[in-house]
Amino acid sequence: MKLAFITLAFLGVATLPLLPALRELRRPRDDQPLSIDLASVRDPRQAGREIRAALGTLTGDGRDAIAADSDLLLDNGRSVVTVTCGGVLDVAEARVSRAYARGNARIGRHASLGAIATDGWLMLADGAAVQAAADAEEGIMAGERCSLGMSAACGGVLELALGSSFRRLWGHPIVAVGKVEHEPEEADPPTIEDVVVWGKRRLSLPTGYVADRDIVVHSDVRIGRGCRVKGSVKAHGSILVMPGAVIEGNLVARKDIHVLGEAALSRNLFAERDLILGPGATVGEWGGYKTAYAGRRVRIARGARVFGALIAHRGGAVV
Amino acid sequence: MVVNLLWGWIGLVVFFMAIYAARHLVLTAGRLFRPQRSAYHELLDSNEDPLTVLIPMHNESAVASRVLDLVVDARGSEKFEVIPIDDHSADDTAEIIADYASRYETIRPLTRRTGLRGKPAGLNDAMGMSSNDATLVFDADYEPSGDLINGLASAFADPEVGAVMGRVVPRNTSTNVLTRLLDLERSGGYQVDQQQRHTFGLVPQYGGTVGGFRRSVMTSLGGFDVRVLAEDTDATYRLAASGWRIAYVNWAECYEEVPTALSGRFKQLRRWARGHTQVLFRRLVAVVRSPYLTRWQKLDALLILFIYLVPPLLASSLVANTALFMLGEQVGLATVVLGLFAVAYNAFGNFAPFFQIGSAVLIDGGRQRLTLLPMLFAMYFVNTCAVTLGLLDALLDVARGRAPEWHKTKRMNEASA
Repeated sequence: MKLAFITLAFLGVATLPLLPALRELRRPRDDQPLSIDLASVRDPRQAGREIRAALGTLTGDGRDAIAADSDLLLDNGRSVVTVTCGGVLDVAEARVSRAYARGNARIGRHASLGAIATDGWLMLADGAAVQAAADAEEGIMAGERCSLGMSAACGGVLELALGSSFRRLWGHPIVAVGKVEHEPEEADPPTIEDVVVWGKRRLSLPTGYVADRDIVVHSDVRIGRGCRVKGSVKAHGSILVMPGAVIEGNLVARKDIHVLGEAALSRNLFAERDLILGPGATVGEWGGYKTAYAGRRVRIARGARVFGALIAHRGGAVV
Repeated sequence: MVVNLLWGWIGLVVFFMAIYAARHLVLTAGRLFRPQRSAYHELLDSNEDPLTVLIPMHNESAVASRVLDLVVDARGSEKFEVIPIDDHSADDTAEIIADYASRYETIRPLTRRTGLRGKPAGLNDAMGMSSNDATLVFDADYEPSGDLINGLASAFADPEVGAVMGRVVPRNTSTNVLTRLLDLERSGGYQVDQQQRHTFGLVPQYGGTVGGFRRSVMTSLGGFDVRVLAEDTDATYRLAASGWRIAYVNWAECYEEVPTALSGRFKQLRRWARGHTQVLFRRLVAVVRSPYLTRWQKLDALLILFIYLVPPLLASSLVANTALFMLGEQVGLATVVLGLFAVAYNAFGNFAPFFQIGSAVLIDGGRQRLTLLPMLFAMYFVNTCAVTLGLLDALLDVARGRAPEWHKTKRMNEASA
């Protein structure tokens, strides 16, 4: 009797954890496969298409969204929206979070909104902010200290002024505008790294060196002035690219990529940590698109250009 | 003497199990709390390298059209080719492939009617007629999108990457209890284990079903070994021991069909255990002696290579415990330290795989399916039997010098036909 009781008690306790499972099996509430969109496409302008799809049928202003048939001016924060249609000025008191302009759009100084798409140009005055996404068919011109939110993309040139911040950009090209202040040439005398292929804590390619293979290094890499690398470079540390270097393959770094000055990088840049593009650095070429990616932050100096995508997972800024 | 031997054996098993438990917990904690390493799918490039997609097929008439429809338009024809490998099919697979080849110039079929049958042999032949270095492989029951294909191929931007692997997601989860449990296992295996091995810079496994490799590298290594059943695991450790990296792209999710019958799962697991153990015999020394792998990478590689020894080891310790009990031994705790260890192991060690799977399901957004976790315990007995038989198969392969015969897992629609 005692043994039977103990056995029953054991079976009861052992069954307890299975009761929720049995319930789920009897009446499934979570039995569908993980959702995979087989039609998805990695489209950097996806956000813009979604805004147009959402607001394309809207005419005039909705509850928190506005669609303008021609040009759109957003000023003084979210409170006043000015729409110019055929020369007639219409001023509305509205709280706008999303906007779609079939012409050009201008966001005034220190004004902000959630998301915007235009079929023309998008101009952001100094300090203006787009929190989520901005998309323009023509191009985007962002003034100083603008915030371009989670993504900004356009069909043409995307200009960023000093202090602008961003996460994902797409443009042809993306240009950090402003006067490039050329720093005086380093006064340091040449070292052995400028003369021979050298390695201690980093592999250093000397000035003018030509490498016609891929390079994989388990430390840092320094690519000297005027070097030409015809393959890709992978470093488990950081990569330093000196001015005048030409890289025809990809640059992949487990840490940082730092491009000093006017280096030409024909293909993609992939830094698991930070990416710094110095003045005059160019990623990609006219007519094509490449990606400059940083797992952490991007700092892009005035005069640097990226043809295609510039991605900073933890934010980027023009310095 | 016998008692001491039994105690010694149990101690050894507990030691190994504690290492595996620690591995599960470290990977799970890393996945939950540490920033994840980026993958290369973010790279968009207008001049993508030319790409070849290989699709091994053996009697795949039920699924051939579906996979060909999905892959055929992934890229323009200039830099892209698809090679469906009709490997001794006896059904309509050849006709379906021929029909697609007549309509799409990207499709260059390979028909195999002579020679050794099996996936590794088919892949080797296909590599011989492939035009491109970057090569992706999909099983015929998989559903790869064009975006997934391009995202996976982006990994070859890294010159150190010899192979790339995507994530396998069961499509037929709602079929029965077995498919739901296998869905949990897959989540744990990919969302946590593979992803965290990638993040930690260890050796993720090239799984051979939704992944790819550099043709030049595999060719230089002698191609896929037709004598092993787990040619993908074999390739993983040959690549790793030779200095190449295996990239894992968690973002690259692809539907597959998991076995719906316990018998099918049993055979699949037995075959995997057999193939995996063959790889253990063949590649253990190369991995240990490789100058390209770090100590941590070697340790993780060894733990993976020995992983199919775990279920029989655990079963042997249960037998040893029972024997000790029958011999009148008290399974007591000699010291406080040992007692604390036993408590900690019972709390965390025994449940480490469950923590891993549960965490993976949570990351995937699953909720109610978590309640099925305790049912995985029932799978332990099935797994133990299948894996133990697989080990015996592998040992007999070595003892008798026999070559294993290739078997394909039955598709759901085949099983129901």
